[in-house]
Amino acid sequence: MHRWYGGGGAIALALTLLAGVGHAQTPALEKARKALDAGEPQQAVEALKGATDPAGRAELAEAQMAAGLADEALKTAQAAAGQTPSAAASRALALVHAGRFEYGDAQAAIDAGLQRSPNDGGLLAAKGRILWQRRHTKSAIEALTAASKNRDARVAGEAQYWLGRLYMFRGWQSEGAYPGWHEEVDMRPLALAAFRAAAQARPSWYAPRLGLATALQLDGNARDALPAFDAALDRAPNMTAARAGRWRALKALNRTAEIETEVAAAAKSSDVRMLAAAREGYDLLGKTADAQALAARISQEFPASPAAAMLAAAKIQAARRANQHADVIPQAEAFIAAHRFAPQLTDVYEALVAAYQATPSAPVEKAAAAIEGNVKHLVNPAGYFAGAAQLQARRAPALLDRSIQLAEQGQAASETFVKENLGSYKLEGKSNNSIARGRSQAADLIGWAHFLKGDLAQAEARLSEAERLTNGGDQTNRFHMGELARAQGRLDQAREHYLVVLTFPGGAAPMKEAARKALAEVHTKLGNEAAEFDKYLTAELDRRREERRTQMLQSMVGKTAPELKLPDMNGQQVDLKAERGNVVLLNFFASW
Amino acid sequence: LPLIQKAHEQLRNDPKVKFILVSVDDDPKRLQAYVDERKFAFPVLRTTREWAAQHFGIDDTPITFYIDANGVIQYQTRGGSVFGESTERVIWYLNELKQIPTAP
Repeated sequence: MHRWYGGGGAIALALTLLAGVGHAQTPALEKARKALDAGEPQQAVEALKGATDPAGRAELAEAQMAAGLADEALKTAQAAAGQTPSAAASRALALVHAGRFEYGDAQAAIDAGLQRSPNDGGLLAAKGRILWQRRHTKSAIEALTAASKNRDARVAGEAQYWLGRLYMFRGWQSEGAYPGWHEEVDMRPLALAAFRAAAQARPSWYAPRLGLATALQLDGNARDALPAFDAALDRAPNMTAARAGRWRALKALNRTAEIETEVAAAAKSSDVRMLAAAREGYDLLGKTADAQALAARISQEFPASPAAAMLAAAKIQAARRANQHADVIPQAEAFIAAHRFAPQLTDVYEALVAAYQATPSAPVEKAAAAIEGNVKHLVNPAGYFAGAAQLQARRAPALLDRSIQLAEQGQAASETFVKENLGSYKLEGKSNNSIARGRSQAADLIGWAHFLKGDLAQAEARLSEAERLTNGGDQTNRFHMGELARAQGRLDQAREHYLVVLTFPGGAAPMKEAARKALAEVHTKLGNEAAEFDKYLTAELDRRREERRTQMLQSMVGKTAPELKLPDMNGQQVDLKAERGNVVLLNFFASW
Repeated sequence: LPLIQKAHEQLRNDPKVKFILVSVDDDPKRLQAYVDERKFAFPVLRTTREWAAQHFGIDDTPITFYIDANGVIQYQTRGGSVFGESTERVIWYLNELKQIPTAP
């Protein structure tokens, strides 16, 4: 499973600053917006405290959300939306819901707002941001591009900034975050241009400067990144990501002495954001003990802060990587209780689900709750299928219908995901393959749930659909087909399925063991001596593996390459023989 | 192919390493569009599936042969990125091949 944002929590947190829209500005509103542009949502909340006008309330809700006051934010946004239905109120409500991972409600608020004011820039910008949060790339670009043409510079700047974030992800991070993705178009210049446009449209806002700096840093251009980080710090001096980013750039430029002085000063700050930066700085300097001491201080003195959430999430990920499932479970559950709307929840839930999967003795209901919690927060549809499979593995009849529901949601989510990200798959065949994979996984899971429920007709329909979609090449599906055939008394077919399962390399050990046992039973039922089974199986598998091997090894290895003399696409003759003396990579492909 | 392209970017200044692609596409228009889009910095040849099967024993694409300086195929890999191939692997193969001395 994969994280939805590859850039590290600090940036994700620091950049979730909100912007507002509106026309008539009260002094309080103006003050609040200045504070938001400077990355000080707390001050914005202070400035707007007690606001009763619709615009003030809407802005207050966004500021509260940015300040981590999710419950107050929801109340304020609902009050604003109930008072006078306005675009600003719908926008605030949608953003608050999205920040709380309540995507259905967020969507509804956007839809309601756009129905009244279809061209409202603030609404379109919020729509784009929320869609991007869910990696609905294509629709996000559409909405953000529309918003970026808004006459209100504040709105246009916000939209440009989020376009920058989107292109930054696709330009530098997506291929690492989603295996199988390939960006055909270079998004990097687009990202830089969007951040620059955003900085121009909203000169006092730190976020586009920080975005630009981060992108330049990702590009390995520390020399230009450094002044960009400083430009962000001019506007938001306490921003962790900007501060730590400056030090990273300095380190790349071998200016370690400056880092040492600045980190030591930051470590004396009373602002938790500076302390978090100093911790990163110590890490950067290799001063592990100092970094750990600061981390402990942050967790103790500022337990509810985003910095504490980030540290706790990092600890959980470390435990997960070390396969310490017994540690992951209590830590992750404590995290979920303490940081209900932290952006790291996506990763924490994934870790929790994995830990429960590795702990079959854990209570079924708790594991199921973790799976369903994960689904609510995740972006990558793979989590639906993994969750459905895990529910089925628990063998609790009550969970089967829930697993079917998850698989169905997963299929829908996977189709949306592929269609929304076609630009990253590009080749039609590849994306069709991905869609087919989602469908086959859903069909297999649903069919298997029906089998476990005893509905063999439904099971047959869905399981064989999955077999068709995978050309019989999916091991788990073949095992399920074997179980079905055995239950229906089609013993010859069952035997074939089981043999295929056992011939494939890899596969889960329990499943292979089950296939072996079932095959032994079928073997006897077909009139063979039980005592002869092991001999039969060994001989049969050897024969099949040998067959596969000869097929695979119709290999040319060790032979001299055949003659190859063909024209290339420009009509020029290429002769392989002429390359003697050189090492040659020769690839045969089809552009499917 | 993306990873072959990436490997090539890293090895393009090595005159002793050559990359050749052979397409077995049926539809030349589609291939042209693909090649235009990808802008490969090495030759792309065309042949038929039948020819590839007859001469190189290819029943499925993609397939990559790694040929040493003596013209001997040393490695053969099937499949694309799905099967754990990586740019590093491609480069590793090529570097291994470079260790093989040329026959007199």
